[in-house]
Amino acid sequence: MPSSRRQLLLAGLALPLAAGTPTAAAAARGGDAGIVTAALDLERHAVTTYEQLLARGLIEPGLGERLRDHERRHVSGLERALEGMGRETPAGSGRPAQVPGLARALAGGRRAAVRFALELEGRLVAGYFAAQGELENPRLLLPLASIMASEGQHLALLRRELGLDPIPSAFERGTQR
Amino acid sequence: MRTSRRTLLAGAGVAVALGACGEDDAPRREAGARSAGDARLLNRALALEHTAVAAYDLGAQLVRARELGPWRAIAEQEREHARRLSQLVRERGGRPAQARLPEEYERSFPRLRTPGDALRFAADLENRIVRSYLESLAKLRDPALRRLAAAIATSEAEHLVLLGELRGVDPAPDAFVTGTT
Repeated sequence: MPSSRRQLLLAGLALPLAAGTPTAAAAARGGDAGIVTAALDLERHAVTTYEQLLARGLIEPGLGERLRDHERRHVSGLERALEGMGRETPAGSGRPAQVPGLARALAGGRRAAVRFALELEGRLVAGYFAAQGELENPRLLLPLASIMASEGQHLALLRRELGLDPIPSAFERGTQR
Repeated sequence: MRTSRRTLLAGAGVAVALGACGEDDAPRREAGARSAGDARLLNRALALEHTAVAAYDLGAQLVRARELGPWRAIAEQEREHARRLSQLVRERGGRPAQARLPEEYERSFPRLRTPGDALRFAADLENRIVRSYLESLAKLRDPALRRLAAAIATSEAEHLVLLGELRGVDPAPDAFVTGTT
């Protein structure tokens, strides 16, 4: 696997790799479709995470609903991108059991659950950040960057929820591993 | 919260754009390093960052005491953006765009008389800067610069969250942040 591709996976999409999902194989096959598929998988995890946090009262409802709805729109957008590439949209990966670490976070109470969401958003931003250097089709750059910017806003809101500095860095790259 | 029609259309536009990214599009041709072109794009971004710094400096005289903390935090990040972009332009053999005099910026700004004016102008400017960075992505030849532009755009989007909170408006209305809100 080219080192740059490996960097992409490690930057933000390492969790699906660790979980052994089809995402890793998709991204490793290379190409923009692999990148979009990996992002789609993680966005689905984000939707599930917020659904679970809301169902258990572990996040302020207005905030949780807003972030959940944004992630749902990201999922739709990425599915559309794959269809535009003539690729099949992979089967849903949104069951709670398919989100590594979620069960433990949910059992840990509100702060642990919100922190889990924060870390997930950080991985999303990191993945999109790396993707900007990997994407071959220039028409994907702006849409994926607009999603990255949205996830950045989610980071600011979740940091605020946790009593953290909402904007700790002038260059938001997400969670780099 | 209500979402403006313009916001909905902007988001729909991005969603449509994602669907139009078919595989029959010609891949980017790497025609060799175009440092000069990248330097020009960086200088355009730098000019906007200088404008942002000037706007925050001017606005600091208008915003309320409780707004000063986040206001100054954002201003300092705009200065970091300007410093980094200046360095990158120099590294590519270009001459970094220089900031104009404060009074020149003030003459070009709308009349700012109240804290609300300053906050609203800052939000408008941040949106313009986000849009500029996103539009530059497809033109930047260096992948590292595309990543940097995306990181700065994301940072500017986070500034919009703070400004929205200070203004008492929806801090994150859009699922696709394009700077067109």
